[in-house]
Amino acid sequence: MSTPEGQLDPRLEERIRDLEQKVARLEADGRLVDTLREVGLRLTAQLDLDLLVQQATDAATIATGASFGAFFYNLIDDYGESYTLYTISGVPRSAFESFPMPRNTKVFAPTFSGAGTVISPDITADERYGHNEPHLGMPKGHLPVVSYLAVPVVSPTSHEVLGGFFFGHPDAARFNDEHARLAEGLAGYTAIALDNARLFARERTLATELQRTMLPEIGDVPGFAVVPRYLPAASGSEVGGDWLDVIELPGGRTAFVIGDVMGRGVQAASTMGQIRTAIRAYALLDLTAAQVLRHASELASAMSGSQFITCVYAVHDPVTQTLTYANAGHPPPIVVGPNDAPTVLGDRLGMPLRVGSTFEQRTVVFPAGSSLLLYTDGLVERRGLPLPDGIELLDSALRELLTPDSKDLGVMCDQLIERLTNGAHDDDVALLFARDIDVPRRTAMMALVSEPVVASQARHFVADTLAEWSLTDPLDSAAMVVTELVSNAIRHTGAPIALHLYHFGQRLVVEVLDADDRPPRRMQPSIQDENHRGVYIVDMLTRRWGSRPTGRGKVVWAELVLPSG
Amino acid sequence: MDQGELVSVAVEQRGSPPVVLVSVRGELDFSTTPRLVDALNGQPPAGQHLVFDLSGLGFCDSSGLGALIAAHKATVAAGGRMFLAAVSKTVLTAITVTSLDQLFDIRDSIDAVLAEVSAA
Repeated sequence: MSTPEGQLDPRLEERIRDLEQKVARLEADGRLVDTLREVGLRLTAQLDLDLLVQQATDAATIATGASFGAFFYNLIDDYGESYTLYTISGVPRSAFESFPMPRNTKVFAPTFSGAGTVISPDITADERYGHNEPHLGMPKGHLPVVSYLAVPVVSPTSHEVLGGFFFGHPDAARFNDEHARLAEGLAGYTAIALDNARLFARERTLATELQRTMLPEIGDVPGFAVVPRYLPAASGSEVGGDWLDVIELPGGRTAFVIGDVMGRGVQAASTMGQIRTAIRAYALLDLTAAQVLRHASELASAMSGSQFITCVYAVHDPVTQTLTYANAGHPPPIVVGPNDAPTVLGDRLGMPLRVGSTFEQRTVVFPAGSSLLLYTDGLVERRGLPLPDGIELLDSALRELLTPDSKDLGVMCDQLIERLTNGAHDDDVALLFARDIDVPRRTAMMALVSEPVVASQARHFVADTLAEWSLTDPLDSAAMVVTELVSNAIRHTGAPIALHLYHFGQRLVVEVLDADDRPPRRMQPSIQDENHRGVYIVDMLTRRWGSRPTGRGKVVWAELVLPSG
Repeated sequence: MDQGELVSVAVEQRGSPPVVLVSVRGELDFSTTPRLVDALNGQPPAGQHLVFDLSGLGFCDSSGLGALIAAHKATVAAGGRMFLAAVSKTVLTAITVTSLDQLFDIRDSIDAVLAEVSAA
């Protein structure tokens, strides 16, 4: 090439400039890709909505070189109504606090409707600017915006507009196509991250709500000090399937239940709720502990899902001072006599629900002042610690912490959990502690013979007993109920055995034992019907009534509520 | 215990126009109700009213209520009306929990019934 010394061929110079521009564009593209990748990774891993939107706004404001940026986004509240929040970057939030939310003006509309990016070297000169009352442009005191860039954030799944990014600069022509592409890229990531966060929050809220509504309020149980504890796993966000329950049964008896549906999340929580409800229902039918678990297992097998379920069902009977329990593959209950060391009830009585079809039950003595501890595996299972060792740790901790003088049983239970888990548990922990607080109970018994006059004798026995117990109020009702139950035992079974009266707290329980295991039938007599009125009278005068098999016949019981005071 | 002591039933004619007055004393349950049923056999004559004086009745179970329902049906079928008078609190409870207060005409006293019947 023949050119003057020291001068490059102009065509070469042109090619060099061309190459330099290409390199700069590639570098810019590279920076853009790097920025997007880096911010995108961070955003899409963020599930906390507040943090997420702030990080996105900060990143986008820096990437676009804006002097400030804002992100307006829509949320739906608990009542299904939409509302708008915003984050600010580059200036203090106070710079915007006095202004109303942006409306759907000509300038903002393309962003809020999701139509596309708006980029303007001088928005105040834009034909869309300044048409709306009362401000006709930016409100007084607004930070000066000349260069303007706005990008909608659209959900990739539902295609609804989730919100919009807005960037401003007081100088003209500060935003170029690269800035717009960066903002659009970040808007894409933000949309994905918002979708994730919203889905996550929805799932977590649903599961937590489901679990909350399905866990019972454990209230006072007559004769027991009860401490329920439920601690969600320290790590992880999905709810578990642990539950506990206390059910007042007829005759002053109480059922204590603990269970654990394996797995986590909505499925586990809903299975838990169904099984818990079913066990409640079976309990109130007065089935035996083994029968309750057998029915629950059958029901669980017929339900969708395959997680197995472990459960302990234990019934305390204050009259015999015993605890009868069945266990479906659950960690063993622990009982502590009033002056004894803890006893771990480790009998293998059945496989988990859904797996087992037969369950055995055992009865142990449970004298007044005894305690029962039920818990889920979260309390005793550690990585690297075999279950038997965990139970042994629990046993020794209980020996140390629980004394006959233990006053605050709630504190005792908290200490127990703290001791066993060191404050960090990777599974949910549920615990149910109950101590028989030995309130006065009174019982009276009368043998029944199969003669018509026995109904009258039973009435006088009731009158005498209630007078002795200073319970005059329910006398009429009690006399009527006893008469009907005894009459039925004589007329329908011919084999009455005994009448029990049982007074406990606000309850008066009448029990008539007979030697016939057929349950009584409930009739709804028509007004002209001369018969079938007896059981109806019992129904009307009592809080509840029912019958349960005794092995050599049945007990028909009825519970009257005494006025308080 | 002698069952006879548990309940007594007296039946007489009273008033003008005559009504059949049945006084039941004691307690009615499934062992004593048959005595009431026996005493009511054939009562009241056609067109007469049947009036129960329950001031001496201290208890009434479902079988006693059944007998009263049967008496009500028989009286209405024979063209009369049936009244329960001077019902004790305990017996009234048994009547009201079973909603039979909607079926029976219940009055405070025998005199109130007789006055109502003679005025009709």
